[in-house]
Parts: sequence; structure tokens; C-alpha cells
Amino acid sequence: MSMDENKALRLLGRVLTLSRLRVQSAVPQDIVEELTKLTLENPMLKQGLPVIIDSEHAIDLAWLVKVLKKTGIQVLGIADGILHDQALALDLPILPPDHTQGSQRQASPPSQNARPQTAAAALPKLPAKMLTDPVRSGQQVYAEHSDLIVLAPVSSGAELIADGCIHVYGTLRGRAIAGATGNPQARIFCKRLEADLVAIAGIYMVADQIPSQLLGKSVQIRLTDDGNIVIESLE
Amino acid sequence: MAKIIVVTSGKGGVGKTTTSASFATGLALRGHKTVVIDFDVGLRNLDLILGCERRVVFDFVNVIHGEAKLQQALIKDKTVENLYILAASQTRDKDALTQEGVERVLNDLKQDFEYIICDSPAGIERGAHLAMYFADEALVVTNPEVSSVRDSDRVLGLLASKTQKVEQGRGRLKEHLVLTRYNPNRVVKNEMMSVTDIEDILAIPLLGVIPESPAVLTSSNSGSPVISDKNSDAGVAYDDLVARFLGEERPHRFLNPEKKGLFAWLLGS
Repeated sequence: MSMDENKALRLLGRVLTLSRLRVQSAVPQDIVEELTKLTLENPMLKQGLPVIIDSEHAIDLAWLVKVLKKTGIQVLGIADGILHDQALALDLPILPPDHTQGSQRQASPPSQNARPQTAAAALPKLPAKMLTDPVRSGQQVYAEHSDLIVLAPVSSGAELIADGCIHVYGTLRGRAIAGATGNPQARIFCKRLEADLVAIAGIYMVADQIPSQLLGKSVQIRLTDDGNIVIESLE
Repeated sequence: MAKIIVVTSGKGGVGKTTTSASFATGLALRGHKTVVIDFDVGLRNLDLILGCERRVVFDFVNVIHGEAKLQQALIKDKTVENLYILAASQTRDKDALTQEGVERVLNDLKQDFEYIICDSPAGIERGAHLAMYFADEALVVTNPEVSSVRDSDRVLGLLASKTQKVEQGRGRLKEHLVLTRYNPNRVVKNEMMSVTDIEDILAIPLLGVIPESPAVLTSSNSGSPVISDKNSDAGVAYDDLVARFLGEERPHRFLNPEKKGLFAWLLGS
């Protein structure tokens, strides 16, 4: 309704794709060398690619941001971890840590390692949000800090968003965006797949890209270890 | 207790006014005092379809703004006892409608009428919003065609959230599906969506299927609602629809292609 356009502020549930720049060495010269190689291989880095810095090493964040800025990369924030305090000091946004790294943390000073683990575990999980009426075109539902269960059809043009998993025990014709705050373990389940778009932790797949033999079937949708969306039949 | 029923669709040109006119006429013919209101300010059509365009003195907007009394604006139908029409303004636009004004007029009408039919304009803006806001029930008019179905779906979402009944927690609107311009021959050839396809997507109970019919144009040209044409398929279908609305059990007709008689087949008609 055009009534919305009169409000001063509006919260829109848009999914953005950001790149993570993972720092895997504490040695500045190595970082600069690798950065030069990266920018040669990926010219788009110079065009202001927005990144989140993800580091387990206690590097000098202010220095890194300056070096990246010179290359043209825009630092939008950091993934919560060892650089937490430095980010606070620099007024940089701190985003949830990357959950897939949970078991593979490198040997940094153990006390500082503890924080990222507890941050991941501390994500509050509320009981699932349950809907029993059809979700109509143009409606948007957000299950914050929980899973979303829908026991009715979801129309084309409707949007389901959840921080956790999404279950549709009916026909999914709209959009399903799971793991909305970055949880790559989130999955989407539906009884009949006819979705416009599916996304998990920011990785998305549009209707055109869905393999035709899976349309109309009961499926689960998840992210593989290397960050690709895979759709598997449940039949 | 008077019932307010909105006839809406989202999509334009699907048959809202045609349905409003026939539906209101059908109710009135069965002895219920009925008023039908045109909410399409600036693009009014209801008066044409019901053949009273030459008798409009005052309209809905005049009454809202206190420029005329309700009794002065209500037009009594010439042929059907119990049927009254409240035309929309043609010179103003939808901003002339106010929520308080509409509520006041509807409350006044509730004193005298059993059924108040609100003929909604197309779209989801102010006119459509006000037409549905005070409703108890809704007829969602849909063509068996993808854009109409999607728009009807959107409107169903609005009916379930942006109406006074829902906002005040007094329950939900009763929604009815009216499928218009249905052509079973095309459905059989897979060129047109079927009733089951649409029921699957919209998930609301089917009130009636009105077949595509030349009678609709003929009727609107002659200023009488198609339900009055008892020889037409569309007219009969609307009559069935009204009967079903009032609780009668009537099987759905015109869902299957007509079986041509031998003669018709031989003559290639």
C-alpha cells in the first residue's frame, strides 16, 4: 500500500551478498603479497568490493583496513572474533561469526579463542514460529531467532524469512530465506517445491536455476561445505 | 443485522461491477433489501451497468461531504423492488473518500438495508482499501489467468490483515471465490487454468463459476444486469451463485465443454 511511503523509516528484508576476507596469516608482508596477487586475479576487488574481515589472528586491524582501502576494497565490518575489541575502537560493525569454522579454529592464544565459540553458542533459539493460514502474495514473515513452520501454501510473491530453518508443509511458491543472520547450517524443507527463490545464509538460487526434475517434489535444501546450495529430493 | 459484502479482485476488468450488479439484483429479487455502492470514484461504471446513469443527481462523495442527504443520493431501481444504488462521483477522485465518511454512510445504511454490496475499484489503493475495510464478507472475483490469480492472492492477503474486523480482533472476513470468464473448451485444451488449479493456489471456497458469455456485453449495453437474462448461461450461473450464497446447495454448471448435438456437429457450428 502506498501508505508505507509516508513513513520516515522503513525496514526492508533484503538479502545482500557480501564477501568474507579471511585472514590466515599474522605476517604483514605475507598479507600484502597475497593481496597484490588477489587484486591482479580479481579486478573487481579494486572496484569497491564490500567485505567482512574474518580473522583468527591478532593482526593490526587499523593497518589492514588502510591497506585494503588503498586497493579499493571497502571494509563493511568484521566477523566477531579475535578482532572484536579493535573493531569496537575503530567503530566498525561486528557481525556474527562464521559458524562453519566452529571445529576448525587454528591455534591462536586459547583464551582469545574462547570468545568466538561462546558467541556462536549464545545465539538465542526460541520455539519455532508456526503459521497455519496461507501466506499470500506480498506478505512477509520473519521468524527472528527461530525456525519457521508453515502448515499452508505459500503464494508466489510471498517471503518467508527465518534465522533458523524453514519448513513448509504445503506448496512453496514464494521465497524462502533461511539462516537469515548468517547461519549456514539452516535448511529449507518443503512438501512441494515451486519456489521463486531459495536462500541460505545469503547464498541464493532463483527458480530458473532449480533443476526441473525437482520441481513439484518434496525436497530439502541445504548448503554444502564449500558454500553451494544443493537441493535433494525427500521422496 | 446488516451484512457488508465487498466485491473485489485486485486485477482490473475481471468482472467486479458485472458481479456486483448481478449479485445485488439476485439478493433483491429474493426479497432482501439491498443497496449496491460504487467505490470507483472518477471512473464510475455501476450506474451504467444497472441502467440508472440518467438518474444520478447526488452521489456517494456528496453524501460523505454532507452536500446531500443519503435519501437524496440513493437511486431506486426501476425494475427490481428492494434494490437501491449509490453511485460514485465522476468529477472527483479517490482522495474525496475518507474513512470516517465511509463509516458514517455505511452505519446509516445498516439501519435500513439487509445487504450492502461494495463494488470495489481495481488496485489496492485508497478506493479498494476503503471498499474492503468495513466488510464482513468478500467476493474475490478472478479470471482463470495467471496475473488475475496473483492479484487476487495479494488482495486475499489484504483482506486478512487490513480490514477493521481483523484489526479489532473480531474474527476474519468470510472469503468467497468467484471465477469469471471461464471457458471449459480452453481448459480442456490446457490453454486456460482450471477450477482446481485456481482453488489450489487461492485456497478459498468456490462460490460460483461464471462462463465466458456474449450475454455480459449485451446486458451492459442495455443497462440491465446479466442475471436478468434468464436465457443466458452467465445469467443462470449468477442466479446459482446467489442461491449458494444464501445457503442453497446447487451443483456447479458450465464447468465442462458442451456436448454438441449431432446436428450441430454436422453443421459445423
